[in-house]
Amino acid sequence: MKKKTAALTAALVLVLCGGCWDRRELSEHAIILGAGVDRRPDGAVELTLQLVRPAAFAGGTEGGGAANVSLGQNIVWVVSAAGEDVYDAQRNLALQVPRHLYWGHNALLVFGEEMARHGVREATNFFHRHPQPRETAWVMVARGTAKKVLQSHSELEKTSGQAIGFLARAKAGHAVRFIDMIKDLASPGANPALTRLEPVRQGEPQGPGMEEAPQHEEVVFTGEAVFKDDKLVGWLDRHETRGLLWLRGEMKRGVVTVPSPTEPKKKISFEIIRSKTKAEPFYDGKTISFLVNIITEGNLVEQQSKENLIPPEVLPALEKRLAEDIEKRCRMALEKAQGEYGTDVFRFGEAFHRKYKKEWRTLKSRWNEEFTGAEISVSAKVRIRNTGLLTKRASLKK
Amino acid sequence: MSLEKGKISSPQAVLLLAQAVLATAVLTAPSLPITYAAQDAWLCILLAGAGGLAISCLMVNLSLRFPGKTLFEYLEIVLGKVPGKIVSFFYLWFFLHIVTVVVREFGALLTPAFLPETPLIALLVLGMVPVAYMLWQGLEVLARTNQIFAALLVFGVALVVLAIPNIKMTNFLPVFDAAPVDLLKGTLAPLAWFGELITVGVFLPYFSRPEDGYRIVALAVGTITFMLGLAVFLAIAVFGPIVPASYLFPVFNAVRLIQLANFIERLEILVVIIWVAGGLLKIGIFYWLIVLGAAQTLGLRTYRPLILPVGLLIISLSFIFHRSTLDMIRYIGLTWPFHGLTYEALLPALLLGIAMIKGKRGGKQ
Repeated sequence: MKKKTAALTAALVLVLCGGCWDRRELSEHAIILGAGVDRRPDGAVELTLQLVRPAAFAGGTEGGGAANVSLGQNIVWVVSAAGEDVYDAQRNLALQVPRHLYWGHNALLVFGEEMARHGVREATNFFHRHPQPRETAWVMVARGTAKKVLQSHSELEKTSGQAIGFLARAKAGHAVRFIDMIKDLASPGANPALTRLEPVRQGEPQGPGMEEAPQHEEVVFTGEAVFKDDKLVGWLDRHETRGLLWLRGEMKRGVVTVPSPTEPKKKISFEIIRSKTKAEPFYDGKTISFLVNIITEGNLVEQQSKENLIPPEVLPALEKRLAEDIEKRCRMALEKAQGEYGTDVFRFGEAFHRKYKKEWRTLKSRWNEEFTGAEISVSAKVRIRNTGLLTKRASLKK
Repeated sequence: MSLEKGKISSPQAVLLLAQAVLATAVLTAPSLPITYAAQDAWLCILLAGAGGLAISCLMVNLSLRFPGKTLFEYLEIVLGKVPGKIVSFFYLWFFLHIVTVVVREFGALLTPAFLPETPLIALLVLGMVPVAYMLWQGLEVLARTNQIFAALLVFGVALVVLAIPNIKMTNFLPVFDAAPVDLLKGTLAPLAWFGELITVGVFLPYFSRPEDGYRIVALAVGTITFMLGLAVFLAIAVFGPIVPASYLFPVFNAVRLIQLANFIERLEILVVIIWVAGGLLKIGIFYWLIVLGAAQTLGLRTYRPLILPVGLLIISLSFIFHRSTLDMIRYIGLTWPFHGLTYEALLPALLLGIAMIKGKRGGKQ
């Protein structure tokens, strides 16, 4: 009896181990690497997907870059379809793509300019509600259409989506995760600011057999898209974007280049190692003001000027120059945000809420207007900790 | 007493009681207080913990007056034979209600996120079979299985450590921003969860040291408060005070965000493992309470014949009571606090009052 029961149980377990309803083999999937959402003039949502073509990767080893990809084949397949909302568009795509669309590896979500101007809130819901897309995907805004950005290809990486992902991870510019955009949208004291993507013609064809190859467009980070609530209201250029990063306290890497205090025509570059920003609000019942303190540490990496850095008054003077430059960048970003666009992309509202919780209850519904009228002063402090492997210029003749 | 011969040690008792609340509370509990109290939701958990301690001590006090008797047995002593049996049935019905929510939550976790096309019934039947087997073996097996799976909770704490890069402590500022009314509203649902500790009224006679009852429930309340507090902390620290209110399972989403060193990511499956194990055990605990209670109320010699019919009842009622996941969420948010606290606080308080009066008069022990 016992043996029979055991055998029966084992048989049952084996039957059940076969799998489940939702089993899907890898070869039945079309893996999405990047997605773009555009708005058509008629109001329809156009979804563009960058799909992996596994055949083009076959046989290659990881890390070889584009070299191991089979020649004469597209690495990704970019498809797009329109629909009434994002998921409807995806269903329409399913009629063109012979495999199951799989969102689990999507690393990039691009909104087209039109979509962004019309408002992105509605378009985000699917990506948050559906269990497959990850909240850690990068969200960016294309100048022009998202479709064009996704159709471009990368010379160094396998796909343009991957190239954008690596750029974002390198923290060279500003990159926002999907979940952080959602937090900014939900917060009454913040507005989203997303990376601006633009296909730019670049790179000279080189090497034998390449003379005829046309120059192609690569996607580049060219600044920042500024939102008021969920609508795109304007752009920041690269310099202003630096200011935004300083003010938000998100400056992780970067270089500040300023004229030398003694030789104004020669430049000195400073590399940021770590940086801290604290925005303190003050409110007397009528006027709101902020005092933003930025403290940055880093190294001196390049010096065109000839001065000796050892005397005790030289570095402080240089540090002051650098601080003034940072303050200038911040003011540029502030002028755009307060003057031209009227939107708090610096999360100052949240800082205000932290200090004045009672007053916030009445102010939060019209925070962007209050922010526009706020007086904001920025004060930066720079500390140069190292000067690389040199203490002074080595190539100077004595 | 001949119905169940098992005895459980004090550590097993603490873990069993903690599991009876935690398994589902960590899933959905963080959203509700955050909905009302935003970044102050952790206060709601502390308040609920204090309330839970009061409720469970009340129950221990009541049960210690009737040594060796379970809630279902002493109801007849306190209220008289027929009214006692009627109230017993109400309690059985209440436990049945709890277990259907657990079953449904368990399904709501697996179905949309992992097995969207699998019929829920298939998962439920598969889950109920090992649980029914545990009950067949008795309380000791249930308690020991629970002891083994309690180790998984350590993984849960480890996940919070991995989430540290996503945590922003400024999300908790300003403190005490919520109005007292909102704090209270946010406290009700977690309090009703803590109230599930009244199960101690059935477990107590099977403790190897019932006289340690107070210490055992205090430890259980401490464990639950810590874990629930951690869940609420994680949700707010990662998502801020607004976003997690919309999540079905905030902790699950918070773990999805973990990305360390480019390869430690997609850890949410660990959360599912912890929850499925916990969910099955919680189903087991209430399933056991129902079959034992039914057998005691009906005066049976063994509860084993009840296991199959009650199991089928649980599965079918879980579909009848909650048509969809949102139905269940509405029940938890609006009905559950009042439904739960009636059985968890109001009735036990009345019972204790009656027992004290009668006890004085009749000298009954």
